[in-house]
Amino acid sequence: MVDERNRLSVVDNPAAAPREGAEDDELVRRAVAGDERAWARLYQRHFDRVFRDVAYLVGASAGAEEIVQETFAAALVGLRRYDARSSFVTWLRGIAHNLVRRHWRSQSRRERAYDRLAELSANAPNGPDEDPEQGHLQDRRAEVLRTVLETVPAQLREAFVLSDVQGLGAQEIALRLGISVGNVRVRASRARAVIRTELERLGWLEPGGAA
Amino acid sequence: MSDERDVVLAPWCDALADAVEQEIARWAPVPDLADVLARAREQDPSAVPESWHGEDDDEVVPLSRRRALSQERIDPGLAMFAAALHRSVEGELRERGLAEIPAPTRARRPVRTYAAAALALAAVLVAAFVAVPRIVAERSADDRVTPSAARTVKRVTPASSWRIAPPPAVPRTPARVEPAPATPPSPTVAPTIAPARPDRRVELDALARDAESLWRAGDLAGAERVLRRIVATAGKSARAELAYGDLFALARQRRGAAGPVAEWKAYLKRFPRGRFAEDARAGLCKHVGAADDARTCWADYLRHHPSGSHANEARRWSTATPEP
Repeated sequence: MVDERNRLSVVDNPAAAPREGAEDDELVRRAVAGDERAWARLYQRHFDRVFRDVAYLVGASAGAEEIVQETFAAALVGLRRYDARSSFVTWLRGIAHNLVRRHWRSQSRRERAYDRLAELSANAPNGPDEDPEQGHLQDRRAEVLRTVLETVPAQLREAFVLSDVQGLGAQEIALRLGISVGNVRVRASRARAVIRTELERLGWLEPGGAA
Repeated sequence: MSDERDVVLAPWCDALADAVEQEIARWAPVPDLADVLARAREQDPSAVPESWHGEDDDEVVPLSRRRALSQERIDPGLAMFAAALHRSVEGELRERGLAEIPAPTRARRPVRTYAAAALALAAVLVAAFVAVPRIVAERSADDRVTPSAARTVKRVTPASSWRIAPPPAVPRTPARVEPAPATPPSPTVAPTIAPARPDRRVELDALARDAESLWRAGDLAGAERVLRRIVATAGKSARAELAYGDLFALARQRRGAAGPVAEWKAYLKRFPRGRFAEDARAGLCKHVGAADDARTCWADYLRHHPSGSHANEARRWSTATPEP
């Protein structure tokens, strides 16, 4: 699954990225000059990619679509300020990440997440030897981890999602978040510690790490 | 990956990744360029050229994909309410011989705006039961004052009628977000919030009033010019659609029965399932030159409107023997 996800990221395809970046810059130039088709092409080219990124952070939902639409609207408004020092798609993702953070702040879901976790912990398996139906267990794990993530500080959360869930490299994450590679590693590591502690507290992990 | 994978958390991460991938596949987001343009115009009207209206959107997403998606993407919490309301309003409008409201499509707004959307739908219902009779009466009076062949076109309703009971504004994201700088964005810097610009809707309403005034004053070319400004800037919004309705009538008034051909084509490209789509398709089919083209056109009409008011004529054409 990780391979499939990465396959979809052109940034991870060194052969395709420079060519696409040059095409993007040309399309931006034409869009700034008033060519609607050029902007439509940029939108077409990057819509799914930005949606995928946002969906990993907030879930595939109307909220994610709202963020993506706002991302492209903000990009269009600020298109003249894009100076190609980073790639267009990195610039777009920067806008999207800012909007995701604002979305997280507006949600204020932490209290509800704790309530939900209390419910989920009541249904935690008794231990690693328990063998519930595998598909059901996968669903529960996804639900629990998603809810735990809502209690994790935003900076740690995004680093963890991008690295451990979406499977991106540290260099790519650093570019997207505008931080150093070392900082990415620190944040992801701290996030893992917080998440493991929470899963242990809830009874989903045994102290020491067995699932 | 930023570091060695945490082997304990790996199954959890994979489970979440699989769940997200399934959600993405299920959700299958639908690009909507016109919506992006409208949002950008709300943030900064000068950022989007007036000639841009998102029609290239049709090139972005295959129509077949959009059709399929529109049937399954209505928020389940709102779907029943919306469907019941839609049926009720449709019945009222049909009784009064007014245009149909397009079938509801999936909500694009986040969950927090569903309540506002419900209020908007409720306003439409109120309009149908309370305001429409008054509108119809006013329209009759209007027709006596400014008789025109255009006003007799069945089910082409000038936008001015609909503006009497506009739906309440559904708030978009209230603040403007500055795009991230070209250098990688810093997560510690909050997005810049700028005061909202004057609502685009107010401008569009003012343009619609101008068009109506010009039309009443007999300046048909002026009215048409203003209506074209509306359709050029209002994307796929209801205002654009209603302006098209007025343009059809105006073009017929100015240039005769085949006058709106260009407008019908442009309208169908932007609103393939809009409230005037049936009339536009029928109008086009009645004004194509060659018989073969007419057969193809009516077959297309039947495909879209199998029980439409021109269906009998369409069937006659599609079963007619081609000329040798």
